[in-house]
Amino acid sequence: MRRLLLTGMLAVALLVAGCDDDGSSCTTLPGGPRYCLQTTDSIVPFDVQQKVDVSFDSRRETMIAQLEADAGGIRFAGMTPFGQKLLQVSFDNRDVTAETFPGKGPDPVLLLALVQVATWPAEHVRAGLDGAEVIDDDSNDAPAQRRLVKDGKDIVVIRYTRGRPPAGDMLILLPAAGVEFSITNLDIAATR
Amino acid sequence: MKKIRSLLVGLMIATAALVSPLPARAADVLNQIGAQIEQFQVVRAEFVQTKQMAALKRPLVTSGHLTFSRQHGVLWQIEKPYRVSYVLGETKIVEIGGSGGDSVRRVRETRDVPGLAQVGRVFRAMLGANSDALREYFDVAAQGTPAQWSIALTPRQSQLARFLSGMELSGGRFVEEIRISEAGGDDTRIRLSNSQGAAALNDAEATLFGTENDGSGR
Repeated sequence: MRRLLLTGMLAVALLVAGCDDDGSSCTTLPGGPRYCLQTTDSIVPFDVQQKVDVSFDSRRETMIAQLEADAGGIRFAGMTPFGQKLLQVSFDNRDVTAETFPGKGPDPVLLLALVQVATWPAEHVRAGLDGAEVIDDDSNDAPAQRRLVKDGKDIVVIRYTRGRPPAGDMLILLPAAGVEFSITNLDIAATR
Repeated sequence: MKKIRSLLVGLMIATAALVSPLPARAADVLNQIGAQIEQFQVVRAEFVQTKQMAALKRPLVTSGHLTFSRQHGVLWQIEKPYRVSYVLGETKIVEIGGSGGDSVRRVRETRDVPGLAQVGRVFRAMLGANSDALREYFDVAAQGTPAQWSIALTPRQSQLARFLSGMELSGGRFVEEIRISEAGGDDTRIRLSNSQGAAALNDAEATLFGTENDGSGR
């Protein structure tokens, strides 16, 4: 199970990673634009546990993710439902570190970039983004959808299906890579 | 390295299912637990697993039901935070998501998921009271009485010790708590309660085990 999940995640990594293997906190999003991680100084601290279903290449894998953000940085861990850690990535506002799969895991900067793109306020995302624009659909006083658009094409699409980020459920689409993340907040799910 | 990691995974699950009646004396607790296990074809328990990662503030807590069948394998049913069940059989691993009409089954050959195949091997070693197999990897220390006992497993091999600091099992008539301390500081605690031995699977369990050979995939 663990290996299968790993295989899936590695496949995702291969599909989506425009990884800059230079030790920096910047990466290239699938489709071309570049994103540099933003510090967490002005972010309201939060922590969420999520069920993440990753779909790609007609396959679907599931993991439990735990995400914490505070003034010290961002920490993300992915686990199997058994509790075995698949990966752990952190950004201390200066350096990105990844544990568990040195050298072969998903691009940690890209993972954290997706976290920020999906959950950070638009102005913070814009500050880290180069080569694309951020378009929020706030028509109902809530961000129902966010798109990162480059040359008229959607690079990343986030649909907020329940509540506001980061606490709500969301769907993250990476059209260029054919990858979809369906994210369910487990804290909310537990009370349903 | 992968073998060691698989062993770790295996031990975490295998020990979780060690919900056997207790031995009459503590001199060789491990072997006696195995002897007691043979009294029952089926053992059931409720579990709460708490995984605390050193780098994170909040632990991951899962809970549900565990069924061990000597004949069929292990049924690990997670109820919270969301429903998903795993049947760990001799040759197949079945993942069952959701419940009732919404359930989704995914069948995988153990050769395709060698990590869980290793789980099965370690599991059988534990439940078969194969202390030799355990002692190949651990220094085993048991203490206490049949009413209250504990077993400490300390890695013998440096490769394993790189990942695992040690494991502790404790309980009374049944195993009540398992603690797994990883070298990186992560800590897993599995609490077992309402453990019961039985002669056979119930209908629902039999259905879950019995259909694992349908091989239909999702």
